[in-house]
Amino acid sequence: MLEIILVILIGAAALGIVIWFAVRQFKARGACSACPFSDECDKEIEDKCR
Amino acid sequence: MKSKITIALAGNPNSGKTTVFNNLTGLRQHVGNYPGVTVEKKTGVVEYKGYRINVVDLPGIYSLTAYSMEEIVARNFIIDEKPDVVVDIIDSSNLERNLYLATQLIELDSPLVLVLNMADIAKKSGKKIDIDLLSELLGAPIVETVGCKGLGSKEVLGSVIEEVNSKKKKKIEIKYGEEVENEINRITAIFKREKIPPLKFDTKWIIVKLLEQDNEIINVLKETLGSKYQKIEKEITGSINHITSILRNTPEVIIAEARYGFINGALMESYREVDTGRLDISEKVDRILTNRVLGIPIFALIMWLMFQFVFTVGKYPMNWIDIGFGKLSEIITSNMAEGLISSLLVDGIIGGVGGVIVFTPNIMLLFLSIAVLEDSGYMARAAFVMDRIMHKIGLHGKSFIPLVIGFGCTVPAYMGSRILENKGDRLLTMHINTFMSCGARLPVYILFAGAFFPAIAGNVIFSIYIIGVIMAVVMAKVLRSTRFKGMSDPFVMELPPYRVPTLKGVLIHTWERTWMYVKKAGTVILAISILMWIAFTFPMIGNNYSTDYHGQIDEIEQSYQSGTITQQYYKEQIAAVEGKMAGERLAYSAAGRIGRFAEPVFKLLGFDWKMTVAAISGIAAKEVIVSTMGTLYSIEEADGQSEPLKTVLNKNYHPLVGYNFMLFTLLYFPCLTAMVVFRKEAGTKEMFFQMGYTLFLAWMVSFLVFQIGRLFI
Repeated sequence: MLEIILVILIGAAALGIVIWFAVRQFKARGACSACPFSDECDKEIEDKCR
Repeated sequence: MKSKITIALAGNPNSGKTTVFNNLTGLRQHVGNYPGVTVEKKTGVVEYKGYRINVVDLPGIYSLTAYSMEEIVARNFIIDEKPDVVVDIIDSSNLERNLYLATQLIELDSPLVLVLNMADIAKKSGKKIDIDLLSELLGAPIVETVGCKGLGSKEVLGSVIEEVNSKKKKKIEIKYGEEVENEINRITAIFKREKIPPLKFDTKWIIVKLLEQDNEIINVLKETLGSKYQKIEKEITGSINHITSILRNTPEVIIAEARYGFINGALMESYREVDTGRLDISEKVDRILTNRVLGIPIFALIMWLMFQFVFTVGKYPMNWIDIGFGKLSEIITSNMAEGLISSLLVDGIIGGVGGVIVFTPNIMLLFLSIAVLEDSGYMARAAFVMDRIMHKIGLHGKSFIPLVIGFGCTVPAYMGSRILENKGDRLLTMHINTFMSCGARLPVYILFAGAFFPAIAGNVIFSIYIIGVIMAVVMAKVLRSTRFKGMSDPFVMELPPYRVPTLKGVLIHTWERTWMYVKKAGTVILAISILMWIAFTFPMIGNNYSTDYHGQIDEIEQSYQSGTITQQYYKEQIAAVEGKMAGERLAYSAAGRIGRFAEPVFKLLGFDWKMTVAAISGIAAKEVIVSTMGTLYSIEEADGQSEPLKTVLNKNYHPLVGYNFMLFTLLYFPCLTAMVVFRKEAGTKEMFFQMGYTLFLAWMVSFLVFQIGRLFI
């Protein structure tokens, strides 16, 4: 039973990551969806991929 | 005094703009030695002498007209965002052409700093520039830099600060000749008479743009002025007709000539070229590499060598990582009780993600090779060599650049297609870019080629890439004569001088791409692998096996204990029954049901339901095909008896099916991310067309290859 609960939790987290990724792809403007430097984007350089 | 400064880096493609940007900010942007690397603008921040300087790297452009997306992006940024200083990066070895953009920046009256980059190359080739005089003539400070060596960055920042703090200088006026100037004055008077409200652009600049028939400005004025624009339009048409009738050329041409006249005048006074009377190394090498006869075979040879290198050298570290993951699986299996969590770790995560991570060395070597070819300047030569062929198949010469980028990743390749000004050329290039095998497909090829053709794997992978190129050529021809009729515009490909790639540049470029791959494997592919494992595990079969396998196992065990069968035979029998059970368990699972549902469509291509599921999962990302196969066969080969995936594939499928699967993977659209970008760049209709036609083509080609191939086996 514990295993099933763990699998459900891990599965939900994995699904969350996939949905988050998909939403990010659709919402991102311009190159952000695939910008290799998107992880470096922060408030200081927010328009980097705009 | 401002403590925060925004500067925009403008410049011609391949003027070394991105290198200067990296030197100024320390950011690691991709630097390529061919035009069109910077499609989007990028920003970095640098602190200097108490100032916080925000550096925006604009796309590489030749002018500030509105012919391409890059030009519009750059121009709109300068006009709308009003950076404190525009820094124009100029290739010193090609002053005349590079200064054309500078003249347009002067026209815009932006605070300007001119950077003469690659000053060392210019000096070596005998070019002498009187910097002070040229600076005076152009009305802007000039700094010399050597981007690749990081020289001159501080001087650039110093000049920027000086420019920000200096008093407004007298504007340098570029004169367009009497006729054009008269018409500009006439229209200016009409602007005043019609009480045109102040616009964000200088009036003279707007009138020049209207005379040049700049669509972007025309649209802005139409929106801003409403009905008043009709009056202005009528007057502008009158001016254009007047100038054309007198000078026998359109105002656009006359104005461009005037700008070049201004440049020539400035250079005549400040620039001297010493004729060395001999060919430099670049020219000597170009005579061979861009030779009409030898150029294409040399290009093919270089590509072939690249794939041999990627596969041959890559297989050693690949095997080490594979052994490492095998050991990790053994440790988990021997230390954890058999159950769902253990299976998730071993079959789902290690089988899935591990299967993708294994190919990291190959990816690293592929991008290393591409980085060397790009940074050395060879890719621009390849584009030059291919230009003739591109035109023959109805493609624009510039298309080669996004197509080459497509060998790395299709997403930036789609975005890179923006460098094509004509919409038809752009869409056509995007539609065929899918056949340029991206890095994500490489793991699939290495897995299948290694499994079915171990002795000639490098050649097999090369053949897949070549088939991709051939399909691109065929589809370009087909689409050009059906959906995208018309001829492409003429194009002149610039050939930058050869440069020895810097170790730092190549390593940074390789690292960025490899890190992207590993990051993707550790996030999205990990998540998808877990979901695939769940889909392969649930619903659980329970007691719904078609046969009483447990009874069979009991019988075998009894026979072994009574001594009627040998230990070897006992092990084989147990493994055979457990294999059948695992097969039924997988077929009973959600993924198994989907695979079996779609199997009839794929059976005609030689694929069973497992390959079908792998191919469907590849829609998310092509690496997922490998992770799905890894998970699937790891579950099936349960109880620690797992063999390397390559061996299992070789045992289960004919080489023809293996090759056909690689073909199918090559031909259908790259991934969902790429499709999202496709939609953004070309619209929903074109995205669905891309998905539909590539799926149809992949199925048809694989169908023909399998059905014809099976006649010979």
